[in-house]
Amino acid sequence: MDHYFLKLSWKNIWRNRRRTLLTINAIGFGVMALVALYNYYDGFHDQVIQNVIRYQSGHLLVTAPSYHTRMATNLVVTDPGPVDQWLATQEPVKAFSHRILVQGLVSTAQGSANIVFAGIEPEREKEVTRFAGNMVQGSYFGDTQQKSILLGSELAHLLQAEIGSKVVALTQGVDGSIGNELFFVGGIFETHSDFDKNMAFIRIQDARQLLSLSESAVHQIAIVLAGEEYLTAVQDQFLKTFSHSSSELQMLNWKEVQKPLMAMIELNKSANRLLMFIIIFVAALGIANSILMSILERTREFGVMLAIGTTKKEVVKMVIMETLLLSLVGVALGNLLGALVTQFFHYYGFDLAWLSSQKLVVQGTIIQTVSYPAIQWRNSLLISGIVFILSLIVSFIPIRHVSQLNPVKALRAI
Amino acid sequence: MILSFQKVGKQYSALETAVHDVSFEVGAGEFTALAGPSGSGKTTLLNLAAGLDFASSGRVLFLGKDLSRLNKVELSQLRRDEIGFVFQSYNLFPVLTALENVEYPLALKGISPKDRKRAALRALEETGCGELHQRYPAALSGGQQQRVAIARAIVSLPRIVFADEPTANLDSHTAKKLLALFKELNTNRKITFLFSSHDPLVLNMAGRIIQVCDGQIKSDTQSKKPTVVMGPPEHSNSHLAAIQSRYSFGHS
Ligand SMILES: Nc1ncnc2c1ncn2[C@@H]1O[C@H](COP(=O)(O)OP(=O)(O)OP(=O)(O)O)[C@@H](O)[C@H]1O
Ligand SMILES: [Mg+2]
Repeated sequence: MDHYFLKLSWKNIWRNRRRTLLTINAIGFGVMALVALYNYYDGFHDQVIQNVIRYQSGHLLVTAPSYHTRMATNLVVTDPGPVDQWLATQEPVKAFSHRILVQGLVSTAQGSANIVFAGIEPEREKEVTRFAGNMVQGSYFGDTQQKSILLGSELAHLLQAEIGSKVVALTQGVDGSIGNELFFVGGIFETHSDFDKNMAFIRIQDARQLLSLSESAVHQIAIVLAGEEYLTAVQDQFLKTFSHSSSELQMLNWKEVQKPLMAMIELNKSANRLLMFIIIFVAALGIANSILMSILERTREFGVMLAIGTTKKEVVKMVIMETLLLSLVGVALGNLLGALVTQFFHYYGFDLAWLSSQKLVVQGTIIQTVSYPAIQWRNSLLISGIVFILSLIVSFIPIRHVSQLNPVKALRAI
Repeated sequence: MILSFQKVGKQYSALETAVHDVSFEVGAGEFTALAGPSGSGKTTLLNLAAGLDFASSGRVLFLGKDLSRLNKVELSQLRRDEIGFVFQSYNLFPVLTALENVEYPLALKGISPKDRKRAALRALEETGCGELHQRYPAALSGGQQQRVAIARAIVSLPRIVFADEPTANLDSHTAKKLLALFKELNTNRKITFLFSSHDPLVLNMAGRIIQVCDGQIKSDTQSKKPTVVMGPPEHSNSHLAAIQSRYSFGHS
């Protein structure tokens, strides 16, 4: 069949202009919503992941084996020296930093809270995570010789602590002793996440003292790479280098560390896929309905076609062509609008928070709801493809109708 | 012999016998009318002749082939290549222009757009509506629509044109002119016609009248002056070649 039948199909879908426009709009808006939503979620997930990397785990974490699952304070890397030396030679490693994490009680005269004290190396941590950029009061470990502590804004509010206030940190050391130290609030940070109420930063040597740990012990070495793509290469290299080492070490990437978060993202994606199928299925039914109506209205014409030598197969081809043309126009419109919407929010940002009154938090991870989506052709292609496939599948309804037409009866139809 | 009905019967149901024991033949070049009142079985006979419907008893032979033995695709090809159809209510495709309507059978055959257009224009000129080729059916009078429909029926050089009451929707003046066109195509182009009618005016012009009543042939009369000299049918083996040689002017 050449363009003659394409033209015929094109003209046929425009017989009932209003119905066709309604159908096209239905597909168009469905596709637009899906394209925009998918682009938004891609941007959103990407942002969540970047936040996790930039505020928590970095790309990679080196710990004692099973530290990640048991979180016991005595599971330390006693001598991080060899790892440090090795990391310094690795091209893709941009920065790394040592950490000690302490679960404990922080208190003032006005109140107390159970939090995590993150013992960090201030200068190196700055290269790994971004807390230094989130100070709202005081400074990020200024030059004071005092034992300095950085509190989250909500925590500071709860404890009614200000810059210079004294707070007491209380925990159990690895030897069973009670660690009990006095700190001075050096700064207050705000990340608009759970960190603001359940985390405090202290210098790593103060954390070791609190836990009665040895001089060089660390819980985590957090590593930031030049890019996500180096993840496996560095992990493999690490395994080769340290598998025989006497001190047992484990390197986890952020995906392994953030299993619940990844599970949430996966769940999100499956929910989106379900939503996509439902929306597209409904749109496809709209197409099939529109085509079927149009076929029922011209039964006699099909009779004429059959009488003058058109085969059933050719008639079915015409119906398929009409279906495809109709979905093509809808899909083109939807993608165009979807791209426009995405582009709009690319510049102005889109905040999903207005949909839910609660903060989006997964295991204390920062989830900023404002996201700046970008056009992803992958999404457009996927959604368009599924529209075509589903509308072809659903078009079996009109196809069955035309293939059962009896030419003599069809010719008698009004 | 183009068409041969051999003791054909058609029953739509146990009670409804539309055609009973009908035998007749139509030779090349004939200009034959099926006459009879409403419900006498004219449409049924034409449908049987074109393989759109099948005999309950007896045989219908088209070019010697038993139509009941052909499969659906073969029947479609037969209608496409050997048969032209003209209907009472014109039945043009409303979304297509006159020209595009006439192109339809050629497009089915896969003839190139250029040759197709040339042949369709030529056919439209032959039926006297070359000027109207850009118009849509809605912008044409009944007579004009029927002329376009005739162009569509003859454009692929069929052996026979079946016309079921082609003038029933037209006034007598237009009907007469249309019949003159049929006659002209019959004489000049040697196209065989089998048409049905109950209009005496139309029947007057037929070369042969087969009277049908209650599904049976009552009489079969040749008119006094046979209108067509039966020559050898003007058909090459390849329809495509015939169309192309006829319509491609200096085009290889
Ligand atoms: N599909 C059908 N089912 C049942 N009966 C039918 C069918 N088609 C035709 N008939 C019957 O067969 C008989 C012949 O009908 P046919 O349409 O061939 O007559 P006709 O001569 O063409 O009439 P008209 O001049 O009104 O067009 C009629 O009695 C009609 O009711
Ligand atoms: Mg009839």
